[in-house]
Order: sequence, then structure tokens, then C-alpha cells
Amino acid sequence: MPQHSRQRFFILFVALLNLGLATALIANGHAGLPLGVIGIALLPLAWLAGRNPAAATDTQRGGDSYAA
Amino acid sequence: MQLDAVVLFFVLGLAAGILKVRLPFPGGLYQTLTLFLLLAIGLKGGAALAEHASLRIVRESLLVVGFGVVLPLMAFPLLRYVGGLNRVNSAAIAAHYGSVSVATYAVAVAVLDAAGVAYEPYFPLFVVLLEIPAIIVGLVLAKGLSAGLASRKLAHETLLSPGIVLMVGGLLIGAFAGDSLSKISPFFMDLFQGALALFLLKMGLITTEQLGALKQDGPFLTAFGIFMPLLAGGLGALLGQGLGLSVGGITLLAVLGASASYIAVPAAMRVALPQANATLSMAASLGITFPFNVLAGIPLYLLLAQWLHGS
Repeated sequence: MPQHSRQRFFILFVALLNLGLATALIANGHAGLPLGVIGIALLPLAWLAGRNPAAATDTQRGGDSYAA
Repeated sequence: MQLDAVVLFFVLGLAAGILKVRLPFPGGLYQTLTLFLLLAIGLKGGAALAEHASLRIVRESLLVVGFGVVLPLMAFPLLRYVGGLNRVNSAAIAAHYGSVSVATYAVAVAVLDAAGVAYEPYFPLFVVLLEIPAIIVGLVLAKGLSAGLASRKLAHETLLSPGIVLMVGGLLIGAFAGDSLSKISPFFMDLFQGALALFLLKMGLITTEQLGALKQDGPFLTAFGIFMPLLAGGLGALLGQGLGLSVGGITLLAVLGASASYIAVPAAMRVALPQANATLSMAASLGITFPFNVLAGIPLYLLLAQWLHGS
């Protein structure tokens, strides 16, 4: 399976997991909105992962760490 | 709907960062607050340890260390084979997710205190213990079994990092100070929540900086930064249940599993794996996992703990 398909499936899985958890929480009278929003926000990312596979490759840029 | 005041400071920082408001938050103050929080958590844990020291804690500690070894081993294949990251970056990010975030732990403690949920007071010991194994596992994943802590510089950076020294130092002071601890308690204990609120304001600003890096570096890391805390938090809660911890204890062990380091591990990785891309690790742990845990994860782990505990 191509790399971007694996990423797509994974992102879709995480999105559905969040939506499932949100539904379960709301059904039981708890605050599930944050997880629901996260799940919905992840859905277009699954599409983006397929559209732009280079996005997840390693760029060797330096980065600051906030090691305090 | 009522939100925790400390968490709202984080939301304020996020909003200010997104709106590109230039909050005059001195770098020195951020360092001071970090130092204060690490010492205060250590002191609290040390005082509790002096009261509750037992063989049971030793057994629990060993299992918690084992938990710290397992987490990066679960994260690594996901990063390597699903995410398609190279071996070094996969190992470095896995090490971040095997270790813990002291700030997330502090928020969880604040949430439990506000909700009146009791927890085992010696938990800061677990925070310290969980900082280290993931760094070693991350190195082994990147370089093979022979790497270990062979480098003296790396051993120093790992075992004597400022975060570890301050927390262990606080633990020891708290454990051996006895009644004299009450002299410094007004400063370290009573001001804890206020200092944490200010710290989280700054963390909100930092998070928005890290989100910029994720725009370039991938939808996969965003999903990974949300999936790992759910997986590791669930496993932490199950371990807490298996150890017979209280509802608060199960919640805190879930939080420790779910959180990703941005204090001890980045410093160690900079020495051990300089070729690893620090931006990827920091963007995922600080830009995604930290806000996820603060805003959605901690209440979820508390619910899970209550469900597991049957209360």
C-alpha cells in the first residue's frame, strides 16, 4: 500500500475514533464537543495527506526546543 | 458550562497567539516559572513520599518504568511504517511520547484539586521516573542496542538535565525537610496555581508558534499527536486500575502516559541525535498533544478513571 494511503487511513481512523468517543460522551450526558470538533477537523487532513505526500517527509531543518 | 481557570489561561495564550498579539512575556519569567513548578511538584511529592514510603511504591515504580519503556516501542512503528518518517526522526519523536510533560501533569493535578478528586500524593516520583526510560529506548531504536548511554555527555544530559535535577532535588528536600517544610510552603504550595496559570499563558503562545511548523510538516503528525495520547492514556488508566490506584491516581497515570515531553527529551535528543529534526517532535508534542490533553484529554481520562473505578 502506498505511503500516502497508509497515512490517509490512519488519519481517517483517528478522526472516526474521536467522533465515536464524542458520540459516546454526548450520549451519556458528558461534554463530547471538543473531541467531536477534533474528529471533524481531522477529516480534511486525511484528504490533504493524499494530496500532498511530501508534507510528511523529513525536512532537515533545525528547530528550537523549549528545554527549560 | 464551567471551565478550569488554569486551563482558561492557556486558551487566552492560544487566542493571543492566533491573533498575533504581542504579549510582553519576558523569557526570564518563563524560565523562572518552569523552575518554580518543577521544584514545587518535587517538594509536594517528597513530602508525600516521607509520609507514605512503602514497598508497594517500589513495586508500582518498577511497573511505571516498564510502562515508560513500552510507550516509545508502540509509537516507533506507527511513525516509521505508517508515517513514513526516517529511523532517526521516528526514534526521536517516539522518545518524546514515551516521556512525560510536567506542565500537563500540573494541569491535571489542578483539575483534580478543583474537582475535589483525591489522588496518591507520591505521584511526582512517577513523573521523575517516566522522564528517563523513553530517552534510552529512543536511542536504542535510532542507533541499535550498543548505543545505550555510552556517551558520557549524553548520560549527563539525560540523568542530570535541569528538569530532572530540580524535580529530584525538590523530592529529596521535601522528603528530608520534615516540619521545616512549612516555612517555604506559603511560597511553593499556595502560589502554585497562580504560577501555573501564568506558565500556561506562555504555553498558549508557544503552541501557536509550533502549529505553524505543522502546516508544513504534515497531517500525519497531527493525527499521531492526537492518537498517541488516547492510546497511551487508555493504557495508563488500565495500568492504574491494575495497580489498584484511586480515581485520581488512575487519571494521573493516564495523563502521564498521554503526555509528551518537551523539557527533558529535547535536550537529550539534541545531544544524542543531532540529526533528528527537533521541529517535528516539538510541533507534535507541544503544538498538538499538549493542547489536546489540556482541552479534551484530561476530562476524558478522568471520566475513564471513574468508569474503571466504578464510581
